[in-house]
Amino acid sequence: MQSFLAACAAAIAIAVIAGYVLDSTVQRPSSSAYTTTGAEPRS
Amino acid sequence: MTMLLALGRSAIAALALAVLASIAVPASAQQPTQVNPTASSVKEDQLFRQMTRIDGRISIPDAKEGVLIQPAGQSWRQFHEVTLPWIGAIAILGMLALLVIFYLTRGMVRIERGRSGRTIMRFNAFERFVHWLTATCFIVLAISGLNITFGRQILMPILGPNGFASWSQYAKYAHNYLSFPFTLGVVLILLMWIAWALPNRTDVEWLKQGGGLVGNKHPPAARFNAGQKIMFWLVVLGGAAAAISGYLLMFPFYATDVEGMQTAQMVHGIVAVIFVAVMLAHIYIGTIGMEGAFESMGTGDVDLNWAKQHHPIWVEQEMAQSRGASQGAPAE
Amino acid sequence: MARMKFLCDADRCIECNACVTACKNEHEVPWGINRRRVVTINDGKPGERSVSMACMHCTDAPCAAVCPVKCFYTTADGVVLHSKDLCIGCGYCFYACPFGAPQYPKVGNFGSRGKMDKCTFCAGGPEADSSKAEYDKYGSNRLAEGKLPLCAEMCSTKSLLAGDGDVIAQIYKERVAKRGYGSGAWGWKTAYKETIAS
Repeated sequence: MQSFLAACAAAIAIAVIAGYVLDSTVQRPSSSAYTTTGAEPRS
Repeated sequence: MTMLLALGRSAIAALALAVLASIAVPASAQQPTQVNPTASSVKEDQLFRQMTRIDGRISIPDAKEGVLIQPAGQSWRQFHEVTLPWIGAIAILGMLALLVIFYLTRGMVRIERGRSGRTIMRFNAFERFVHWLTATCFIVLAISGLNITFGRQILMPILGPNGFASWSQYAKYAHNYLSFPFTLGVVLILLMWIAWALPNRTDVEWLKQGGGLVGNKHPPAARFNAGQKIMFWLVVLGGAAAAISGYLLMFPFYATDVEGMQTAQMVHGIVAVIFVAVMLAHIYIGTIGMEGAFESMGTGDVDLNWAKQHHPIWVEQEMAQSRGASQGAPAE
Repeated sequence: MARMKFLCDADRCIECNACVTACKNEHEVPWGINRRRVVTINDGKPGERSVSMACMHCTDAPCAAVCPVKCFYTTADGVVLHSKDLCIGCGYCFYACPFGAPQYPKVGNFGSRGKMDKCTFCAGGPEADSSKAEYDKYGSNRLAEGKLPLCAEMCSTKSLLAGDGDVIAQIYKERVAKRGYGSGAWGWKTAYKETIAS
């Protein structure tokens, strides 16, 4: 039982951390990915 | 006199103009040459005869928009709406039907000599942790994944379009983020158990006897029988295929173009539905299919009679080891 | 009942991008989202042709077929629209679309790519016609005001035609007959399962 609960906790923890890391580093809005740096809005 | 000169000058100018004009106008202007501007132009049919899609140059930074027409999207649509649901339905419902028939005919495989009351440790805490990490992630991944293909028909009538869309939104988040602990679990399973999962001659014998599924034979088995070894490799290879194709889908167009994305989705879908079908059998045999099996992953300790019945070679090895330890075998 | 279609006469398109600009301005399309684009084939070579491409509002739209949450619908005019409230940003409609019409606000697909956006044939979305909510999500609804899509209206050479399929097919046929050439109605076979015999 312990190992099952530990596994559930680990799964959720890894998922949340992975989500946070991806959304703050790799994710880009199309407004910056698909515009050239000169044209990008500064706001 | 000046008027006469002026008249003469304009007459000469007019004459000069007329002469120039008659020279300048080419004779061919009277019969215009036939020009066909489309003689060298591209036509859609022609391009499709040469290649499967039409690409061009664009002036926007989104490179994939350079594809003008990719009819392969229609073929992929056919796969996703028709082919994949059929494969999934046959695999999953077919497996369920087989399991029901098997349970009704064979019933639960009993511990023949009854429980001895003595136990032997089969899987330690770390092994059980890794198994449950992978298993719980798999359950959520399976449900959220099947939702993409079958949810519309099965759940939308119950939840309504808005409720179903919200549920699907959360399901997709769960699916994408739980892929990480699942992949970790599969890698750990590979490292943890590969030594026990390599095939040998005992497995040939076990398979020849059909794993003892029919009749009362007791085919030989070490820690993992041949069926479990097959399960190991299905999990590792299937998990790898699902993970790689899944990450291609999660990072769209990072490594492939639209055809690559379609292929990734097809691989992911087929591997996934087969995985679900296989796991149903695994869950069956580990729960209601076999008395005394669940404990191996539940507490880690199994009844000795169960172990001797199903994994006799493993029991002997374990006994020999503990005998050696208790007799104070010299350190090697 | 009119069945709305697009037709880009590739022999007239001069790649001026007025259609792209008109669309972006009219609907305040965010940066990086390309509802309409101009693609040039055989650029720089003899026989170069440019085609203005956006959602073709297909018959039996593949995007609608593959959507896991069925967020698409086809209006009585044959315009294919979708609901951004239901969209989960899975990205499947782009894989199915032969014309690359669906656009997404986010590049990575962790969880969601954001709400899909595409050409609406200037017909808005499921919200009430010409309401602010509709404008914020989908852009202006010209069809509800009895007007045709702005991209075709702004086309400098009248190469991009938008409107009742029979009418624009007839216009194109007459053009081809009068001038003696035409490279065909690009995308019509894939989108509407028909060609214009010229």
